[in-house]
Amino acid sequence: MALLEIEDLSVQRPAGPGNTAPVALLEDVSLTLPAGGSLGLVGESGCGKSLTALAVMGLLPAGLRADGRVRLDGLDLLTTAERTLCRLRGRRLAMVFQEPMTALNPVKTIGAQVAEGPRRHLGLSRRAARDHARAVLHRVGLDPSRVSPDQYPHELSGGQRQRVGIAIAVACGPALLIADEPTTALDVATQARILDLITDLVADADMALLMIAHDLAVVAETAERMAVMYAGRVVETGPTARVLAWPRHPYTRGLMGALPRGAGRPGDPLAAIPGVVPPPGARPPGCAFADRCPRADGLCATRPPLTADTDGHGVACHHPHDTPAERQP
Amino acid sequence: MAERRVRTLGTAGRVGAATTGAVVVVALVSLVWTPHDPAAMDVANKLAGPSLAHPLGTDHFGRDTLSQLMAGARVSIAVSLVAVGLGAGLGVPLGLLAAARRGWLDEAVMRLNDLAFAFPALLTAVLITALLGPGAINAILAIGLFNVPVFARVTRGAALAVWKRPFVLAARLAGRGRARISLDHVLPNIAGTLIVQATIQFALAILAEAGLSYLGLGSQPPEVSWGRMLNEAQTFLFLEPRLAILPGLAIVVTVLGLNLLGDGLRDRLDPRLDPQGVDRRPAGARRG
Amino acid sequence: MAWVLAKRMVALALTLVAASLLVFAVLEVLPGDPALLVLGVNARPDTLAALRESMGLTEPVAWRYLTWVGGLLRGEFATSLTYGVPVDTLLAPRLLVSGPLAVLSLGLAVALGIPLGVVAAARRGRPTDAAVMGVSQLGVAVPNFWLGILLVLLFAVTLRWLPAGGFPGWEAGPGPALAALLLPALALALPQAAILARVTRSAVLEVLGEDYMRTARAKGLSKTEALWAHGLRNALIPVVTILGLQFSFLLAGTIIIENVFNLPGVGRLIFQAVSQRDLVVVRDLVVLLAATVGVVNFLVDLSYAALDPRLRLRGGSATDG
Repeated sequence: MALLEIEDLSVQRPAGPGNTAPVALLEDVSLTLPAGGSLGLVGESGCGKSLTALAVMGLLPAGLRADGRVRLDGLDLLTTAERTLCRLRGRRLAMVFQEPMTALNPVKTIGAQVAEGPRRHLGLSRRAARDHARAVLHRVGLDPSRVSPDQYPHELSGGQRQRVGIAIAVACGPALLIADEPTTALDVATQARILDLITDLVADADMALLMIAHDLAVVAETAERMAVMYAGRVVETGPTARVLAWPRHPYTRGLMGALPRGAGRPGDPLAAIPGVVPPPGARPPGCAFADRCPRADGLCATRPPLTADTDGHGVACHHPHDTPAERQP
Repeated sequence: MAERRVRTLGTAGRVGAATTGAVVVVALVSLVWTPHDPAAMDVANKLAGPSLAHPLGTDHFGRDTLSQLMAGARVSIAVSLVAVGLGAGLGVPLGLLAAARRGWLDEAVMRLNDLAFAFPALLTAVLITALLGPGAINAILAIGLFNVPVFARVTRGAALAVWKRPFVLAARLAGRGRARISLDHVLPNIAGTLIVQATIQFALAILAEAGLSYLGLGSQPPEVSWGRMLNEAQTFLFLEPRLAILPGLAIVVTVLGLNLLGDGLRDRLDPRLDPQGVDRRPAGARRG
Repeated sequence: MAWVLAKRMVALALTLVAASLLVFAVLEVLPGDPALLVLGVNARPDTLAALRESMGLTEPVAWRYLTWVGGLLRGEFATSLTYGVPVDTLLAPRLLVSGPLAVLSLGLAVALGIPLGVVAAARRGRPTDAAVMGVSQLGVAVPNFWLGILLVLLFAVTLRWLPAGGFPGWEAGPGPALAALLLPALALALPQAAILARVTRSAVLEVLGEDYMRTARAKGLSKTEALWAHGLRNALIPVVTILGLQFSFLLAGTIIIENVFNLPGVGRLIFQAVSQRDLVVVRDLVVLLAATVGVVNFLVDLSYAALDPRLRLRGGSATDG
């Protein structure tokens, strides 16, 4: 049994005063992540990566409904009582958020914010929790002699704040760490150091990692397996090295900047993917990528199923590429 | 905001508009007709309960309560309208000026604001009355002066946001003067915000006028006012509570209507969707 | 922090000087002849001259201002024109009525308004929220003096639980004295509580959408725990601003409420002094009230720093709206 099993996860905004018909934001997402394993989730903004993460955490924005199964250690989180979820969050599964500038409470010291989880989940005394927080902050690279646990978030740089966010997440030694674009808001040099820290922590404590990124390089560096999402669905999934070397879905190729324009003769200039992601509620009934895809034809008006080969490399496309990528990112 | 939002007032806003409209109509009708002369005394009929001749009864002088309430609406609205007009007339230009010039002028306007908030409306009114004696004009002056800093601050805040917008920059690059830009670009863009604020200030002015005339500092007899009706009714509270309830209800209905209308207008006109964008109270905004 | 404090204190001092100048100008310079204002146009010339002498009006204007302000600062008050005693002698017993009244009503407003606002925000869109918002919409529209009359009608005339007005004095014991203050305090507090509930609700709603609330939930805190542990202190910042401003409304409100309930307080003293054209009392009390408002707003500024560590280093308070 895998640590995390997501099966046919759908998230929708039910019909209400604002919208007459229910809007599907996430459709039939299935992913698995073994204990200690790592999975990268990539796609453009709005494709449902973060929503998947929030659905796993049980922290979807108010008004959204999740269906399907999200099992952690075999327990379906979608049907679990909120009280039990509160015992799991921060303890068995934890999350690092994208915006270090706003994800920390401005009026509490960083030490107090890190100590909060251990105090409640590990049953530590106030004093023990404070010492624990100090140690965790040190572990994530915030040397107490230079960055005191008694400092406030506004006194720290963006990279330091993200380290605090990571410290909060790993403070109770979770089995699953979800990192939602943890480096997007940071400068390039800091990005690399934060990624190193995360891979290091994950390897050290044998945590499973769900890494969400719009940047293939981040996933290539941190995840053994990856899944590409487009318009609320998984369109390609497989071992990271294999998917990057042999991307089968035209969208994946587009993400890699390897989508040839027009007829795709060798030597043609490379282009970004033309068009925009269709917004939820306006997605075509067939392949959602069809109107941006150079390979699309009549068949693409029906939805392609996600089919996997023997290596666990799956693609949801009627006309997948069957040659290796011509150019690596 | 240049583009008109295609939104209605909403249920509450429509109720507010209807209520406000009804009060205004009553006030206008009272100019030409009331069931009785509101000032006419009929001691034989004093403190009479509701009857066909006097639907809402009479007071301790036998004056017709319905007629008095109608005439009271007229005074209440007139005083508040002029006072808010005075506040906006002085405050809006001040705010525009502060936003356009910044620097020491801005600072001076903001400090004046701080100073003004040390004198709540009632205190200002007391001072003015001490100086000039009681009367409707002085009530207008007191409430109006109190509204100046409110409008100045709201105008300044909204105008500063407009000054940061690209089309203002374009106008500046085209060599337009600050005064012209303030009038041609800034004012139309903050008009919605100001209308909403004016509605809320109007409601507050009705309350303030009632308070002043309750204290005897507002309009003087034979002019009728809801506040003084309440003051007189308090003497007969044990005998005839009806007299103390009706004028208060008139005030509440008017203020409630204006507040609901203000909320409805805000949803429709105010580009800032922040529900706290408009001050609920004269001194409700953050201080600088 | 010390520097910010110093800056705030200077600003407070400047505001107080400006306020005293304003009051002095309005009451003693603008009228031309304050003695004439006090006695009226039909006064006899020799009475006028005597009053001018006793008010010190024969001195130069600047000297009169400095004498007045200097006296206030040393705690030496001028003598009331109508009561014939120094203003502080008049003020002291009345402060013992108005002070407790203001504190009691502010306490009631906070105790009612903030929890209601938090509950409404936590139950956004549900019947509880609608009920709180509806009642507060009504509360904002009710004039406090009419509310006072209604309370008297209910609790004094109909139920006969509490006195309709007057004040027995603290000598009568805290029970009767507090009973006499309860209805006036409620009349002052309820409209303020309505405003406070609305401000609190929107402040809490804003905070509920913040990223750090999600971080707190990801740590395993329940919605309610996250609200109390992380949301409330952030939401209190705008609430405290309103609270400080409400205090000045409460002070002004005492003028009218003390008249409704016949309480021998500061508000009633101001009102009587105005009716009797006792310029000396009016001028001193108005400046003292303005000073109180200034000091309260100063304390509000300080409390920002206590609530929000980001303000402890930088110079300002909240940004301009």
